[in-house]
Amino acid sequence: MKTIQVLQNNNKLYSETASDAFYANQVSEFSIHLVFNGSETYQIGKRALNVFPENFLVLNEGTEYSRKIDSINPVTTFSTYFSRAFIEDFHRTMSVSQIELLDDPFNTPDAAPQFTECLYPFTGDLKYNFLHLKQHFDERVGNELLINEYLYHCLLLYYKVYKKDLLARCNRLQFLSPQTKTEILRRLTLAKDFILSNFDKPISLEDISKEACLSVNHLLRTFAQAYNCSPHQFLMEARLSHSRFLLQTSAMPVNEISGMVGFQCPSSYIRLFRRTFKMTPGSYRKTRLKIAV
Amino acid sequence: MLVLTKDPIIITQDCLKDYHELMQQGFEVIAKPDYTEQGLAASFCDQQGIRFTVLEKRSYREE
Repeated sequence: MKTIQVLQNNNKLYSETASDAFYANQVSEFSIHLVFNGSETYQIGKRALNVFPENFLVLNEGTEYSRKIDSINPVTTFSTYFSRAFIEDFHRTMSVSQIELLDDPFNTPDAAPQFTECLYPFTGDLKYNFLHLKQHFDERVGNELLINEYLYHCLLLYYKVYKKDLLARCNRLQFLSPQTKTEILRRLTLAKDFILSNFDKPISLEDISKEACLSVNHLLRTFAQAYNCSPHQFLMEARLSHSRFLLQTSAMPVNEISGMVGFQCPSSYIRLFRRTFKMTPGSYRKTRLKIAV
Repeated sequence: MLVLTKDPIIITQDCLKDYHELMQQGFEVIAKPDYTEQGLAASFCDQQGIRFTVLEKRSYREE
């Protein structure tokens, strides 16, 4: 089932629930893509990015991609597409002084702003806002002012995430040359996205290193600078994070969840979960159920 | 960042929705929706000059 809402300013909201869908040769507007359960695969050139509920994907205007849902259970996706005028105006409001905005309110730049196309953490205020927006969308709220206010706030928070997730990490890299920093961060982002897209499979350090075009030692050293942890720790965090989502939202047995998030052995999953959260996955599920009741 | 004052606080489930509804009803906006440590909040003043804040409480603890 697909639902689309096109606003008068050409911003668009799109949601789909499907088990099997494939869309080839798509060309993006600036857009943010989420899934609420399962995963959706985006192919951008040679990169395959799997969007899980813990992350969201950002695509720039003009990016060519295909996307695919291939799941036993129906997957619900939600995408917001921002019109060029809306994003340009927002970007200018954020980056130009108040005096310039007053002197020249309708100036439009030659090129649309470009962001790093990658997976970002779907947490905090951004998550709250998108959940509200999706609810208004599902309820067919016709108030475009309200929908646009939500889109504005989603962009505002995305800018904050962008600065925190990318620019701050770039500054943490211990290289003198800004070009080197930018290039290292670009490759580390490939490594990070590879982990977030494939945490449910058995992946090795060599796989990550190959994906990022960084030698294993170079990857280990720079990843720790940018993310304050090793690639292996990052992988374990991604697995634990998705396992918590499955514990909260499904009735699947713990052993099955352990396999679904990429652990070879349930006992090592339970041990790591207990060490990290000071409770077993079973206890965690019970506490979450109590909160939900 | 909006700072919550001693003005009365009305707890809401959806701050942006209430912000729009209150604006349409003619309440004067003192502070537009902003992110506080407790959640999303906006401040208003009614026709009698009484100020109040609408707060959507949000939990930022990782769950």
